[in-house]
This record gives sequence, C-alpha cells and structure tokens, in this order.
Amino acid sequence: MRDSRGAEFDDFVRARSVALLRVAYLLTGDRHAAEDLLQEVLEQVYVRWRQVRTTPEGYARRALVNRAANRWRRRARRPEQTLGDMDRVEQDHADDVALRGAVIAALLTLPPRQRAAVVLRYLEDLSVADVAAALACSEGAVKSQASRGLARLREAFAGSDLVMSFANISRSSR
Amino acid sequence: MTMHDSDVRAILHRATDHVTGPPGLLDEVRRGGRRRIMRRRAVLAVALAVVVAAPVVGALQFPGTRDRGEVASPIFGQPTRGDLAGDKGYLRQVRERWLRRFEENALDEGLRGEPHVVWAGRTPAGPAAYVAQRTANNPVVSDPQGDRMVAVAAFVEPTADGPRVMAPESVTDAGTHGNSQAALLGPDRNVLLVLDAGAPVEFSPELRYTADGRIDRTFQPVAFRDGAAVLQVPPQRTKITVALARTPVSMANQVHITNATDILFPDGEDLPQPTFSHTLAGAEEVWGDKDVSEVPAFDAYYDAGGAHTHDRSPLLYIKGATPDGRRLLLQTIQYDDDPARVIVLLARDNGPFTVAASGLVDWKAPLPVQLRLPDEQGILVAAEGAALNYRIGAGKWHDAGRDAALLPDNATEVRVTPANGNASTMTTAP
Repeated sequence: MRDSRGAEFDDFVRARSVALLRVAYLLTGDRHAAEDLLQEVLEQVYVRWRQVRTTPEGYARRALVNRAANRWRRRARRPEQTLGDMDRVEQDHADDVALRGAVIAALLTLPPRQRAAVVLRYLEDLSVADVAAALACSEGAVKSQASRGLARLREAFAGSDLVMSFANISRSSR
Repeated sequence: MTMHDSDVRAILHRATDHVTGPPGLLDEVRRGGRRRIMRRRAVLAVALAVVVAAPVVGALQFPGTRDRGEVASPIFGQPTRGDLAGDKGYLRQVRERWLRRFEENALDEGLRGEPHVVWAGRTPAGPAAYVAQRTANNPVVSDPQGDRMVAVAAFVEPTADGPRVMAPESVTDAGTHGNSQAALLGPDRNVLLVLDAGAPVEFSPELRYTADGRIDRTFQPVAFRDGAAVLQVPPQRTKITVALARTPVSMANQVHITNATDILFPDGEDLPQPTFSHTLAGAEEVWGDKDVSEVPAFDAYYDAGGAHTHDRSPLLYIKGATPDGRRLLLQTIQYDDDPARVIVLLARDNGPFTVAASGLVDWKAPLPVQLRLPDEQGILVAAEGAALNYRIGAGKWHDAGRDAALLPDNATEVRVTPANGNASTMTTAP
C-alpha cells in the first residue's frame, strides 16, 4: 500500500531536520536528548501529516518547544548530565567546544520560554510573529521574553572572555 | 564592550555549527511514526487533558458555526436508557458521585447545567452508567484542527463503595472516531459494557495465534439492547484478550475500552520498547528511496481491535536485499507476554511484499532470530550486539559482521559471540 505521506514528508525531513535539530540542541543543551526530541517530534509530524502538511515546520517547531519545556520539568527531578560527557567532542576544536559549553550553560540559566524565544529569534531568525506562533503567545510576550532572555545572556556572556572575543572577531570580520 | 543582536546570532550559529543530522533519521522517524499509529490504534491513552473524545451517541455539533453556542446533541437530548433508567435512587447516587468527582478535581473548563445520565443499567458486576455534562467553556483542544471541547463524559462503575466515576473524557464538536465506547467492570474485569453508538460492533473474547504466528480471532456481532450490551468475558485483570471493533473489523475501527490503559499500565507508565534496526549490506541499491511505512503483508500479524502492551520486548527491524535482488524486510511483533513473532517479507522490484518466512523469537537465546529464506536466498540471523561468523561444512569461518546478517544458503554452522560473553556455535536451520 502506498504511504499517503509520500515523498513530501521525506523532503520535509531531509530539508529541515538539521535546522530543527540545532534548535533542539540549544533548547535541551544535550546532543543526544536533542536527537531524541527531534525524532519524537518528527514522528508526531508523521502521524499528523495530513493535518499539518501545509505548515509542517511551524507545527514541528511548536512541538519542539512544548516537548523541550515538558522534558525540562521532568528532568528537574533527575541529576543533570554533564554536557561534556554526552557530546561528541573528540572531533572538535577545543575553542569551539569551550564556546559551545559556555553558550549552552548560559542558555540553560534561562527559563524554558525565554530560552525558546531567544533560540527561535536569533538562531532560526524567525519573525516575532512566527515565534509567537511557535510559543502560542502574543507578539508582545515574545518581545518581552526575547528581550529578557537576551539581557540575561549578555550578562552571562560578559563573564566569558571566550564568548566576548568570539563576538569581537565575528564583528570585525563583517 | 556591548554585545549586539548580531553577535548573539553569530554565537548561537557557531555553537550549533557542529550539529548535523543523525544518520538514518528518516528511516527511524518513519518507523517510529508507523509504530505510533499502530499504538494509537491499539491502546487509547485516556487522559482527560489530552483526549479528544468522541460523542458516544451520535455526533455533537454546534449549530451553524463552530463558535461557542448551545450544544445540540442526542447525548443530552434523549432520556436515560437502560433498565435502571427509572431507578431514581441509583440515578441520584450516580449524579452525586459525578458532582463530587468534579468538586474534588475541578475542570479548568468548568461545568454547566446538570449531569445527564445517558445510560444506566444492571450488569453482572453491579449497576453501571454513562454520564455526560456540558462544559462552561469550549476551548479549542485540538491543534491545528480547531476542535472545541463541549462536554465531559465518563462511565460509572460499580464498586464496594458504590458507584465510581471512571476516567472522564472530554467531548468535542469534531466527530467520533476512536473514543472509548466500552468499559471492563467488576473486580476481575470480566464484564464488558459496550454502549450503542448507532454503528454495528463486533466482539472477540480471546486472542489466539496460528502456527505461523498470524492472529486468529473469531468475531461475533454485539447485540445491543436499550442503549448498550453487557458481555461476560474472561478475566482481564492484567492483560486484555478481548477485541472490539466497528465493522468491518480493522485497526482503524477499533472500539476503545475506557480502562484499557489502567489495566495495561497499572503504574501509569508505558513500558519502553527498545528498538534495534539494521540495514544489511546491499540493501540501499535495491531499496533506493522506496517507502516501508505501511506494509499490508504485516496486517495478518497485527491484532485489529485488541489492546496490548509490548512488555518491554525489543522491536527488531531489518532491511536488506536477497542475492536475487529482492527487497527484504524483517520485523518482530509481540503482544503482552505472548511469544514474540518474527516475519520476513520479500518484494520483487516495485511489487508488493509477501511473507517469505516467519517464526518465534527467543530473546534470551544466543541467536534469537534464525530464518531460512525460500528459493535458496540464504539464512537470516540476528543477535543484537553480537559478532556473527559462519562456515560451510568443515571449512574456515567467515566474518558475517555484527548484529544481523544474511548468510549463504549453504552455511551449515553459525557462531555468535556476544559483546560480553562466550561464543556459541549452532547448526543452521534446515
């Protein structure tokens, strides 16, 4: 029997899974958890494909945010895993690993919705309206969440020479 | 130094540059999605917050629009049915328990009007009922379909302490498929109450398997009388052997039992089912991007209308190719603590899959899967985590890789070396 999801679903997964995985990674702070989260969400998309096929990415993003937040609530009762233990660091440059660690650590200090607002706004470059759709809240709420989140990130990054020097280099190279 | 928005963008991008898609994601997602569909059909999770329930009697609709309005529905528009419809004492007791249930666990949506006893009747387990009440608010509970919650409904079961309201389900304006229409009653859960929703329903009391592992059920029509049917069934305390489905019987037409989840998952936790999937050498060339998400040849092995756990048994899934160029697909299926079955399908070119071999799996054996394929296409073996070798007669041992392999048809012995354990050697299946 032919699968009604067909090539359209496959194309969606192939085209968007890396971007969604990156979002999941910053929401969870853990590569393996991010992969699990993404797979769960894409399975959910698969099941509901007929309903969401016109806007699969929006649906997936929203599910990612919700599941990441729920995961966080559950995880709060369990010991944290160390990022370095779980991540694939062996192939990476030491500075990149350190930068990544600092970014993840800073993001994890944000409440889940602030974190999601920042990640969707500044990693995914989504408009305020699209972030509002993903977070199921008003655009005003997104603006305040992103702004608070950004302020806290700036504070956290200010204490990291590595992050600041990266920002400096990055800006001077533009 | 002030950090600009663009700096934050650059840092977030740099922190995720290393993240690439996991290999095999699409296959895993399709397989997982397909499992979810099967599970949704097999076991209904009855949690009030997430259930998009269906009307029990007829379709609920807002008149005219989907905006909030009076709910016109036979569920509220008809008098109580059942042989206790005139028993004012019992009905009063049921309504009291209902109201108390929602006083103790208030609904966010609120309730309005009076609870309506849709059905009340005698059963061998004691008096039972089905009750519904409109909600004060009608929030959208299904995204993106936009279905609105319009009422809440539940079965009421007999207990030593009197009537007890079972898991309430939200009722939406959407329509009906897939909602609880039955309940297992009594301490032994050996009385099956099925509400009459206006469509023919068939019932099978026992799950059996044929010698080759196919599902072997006998269905009989459910005879409704005055709004419901009451069936005596074997005890279903920890495992559900009964199956219920609207006609024609199929997974999609399953009639859900409201307390199936409580029986199957008494601690509230679904059991994790580890998945092992392997792609054998040469598979990609034959498979290309062909889809495997829905394979009708497996249908005879799935229990349409039944509700089960997987009992933590692994799901093994292998994609491969035969020496003569056919696509090969292996999958295990297990319900509850019944034996796990393994089925191998083959398909030529773009043709449909047909069953080529099947058998039982002993997960504790050194080599859980060993199946000889027809037409001298080889012997399919699988042992998760183990190194596999084979030989022909007294010849030398050949490396067959790890986890799973398709051995030559004339292999006579296979050696299995687990990651942490001693090697076992066994003769191949005749």
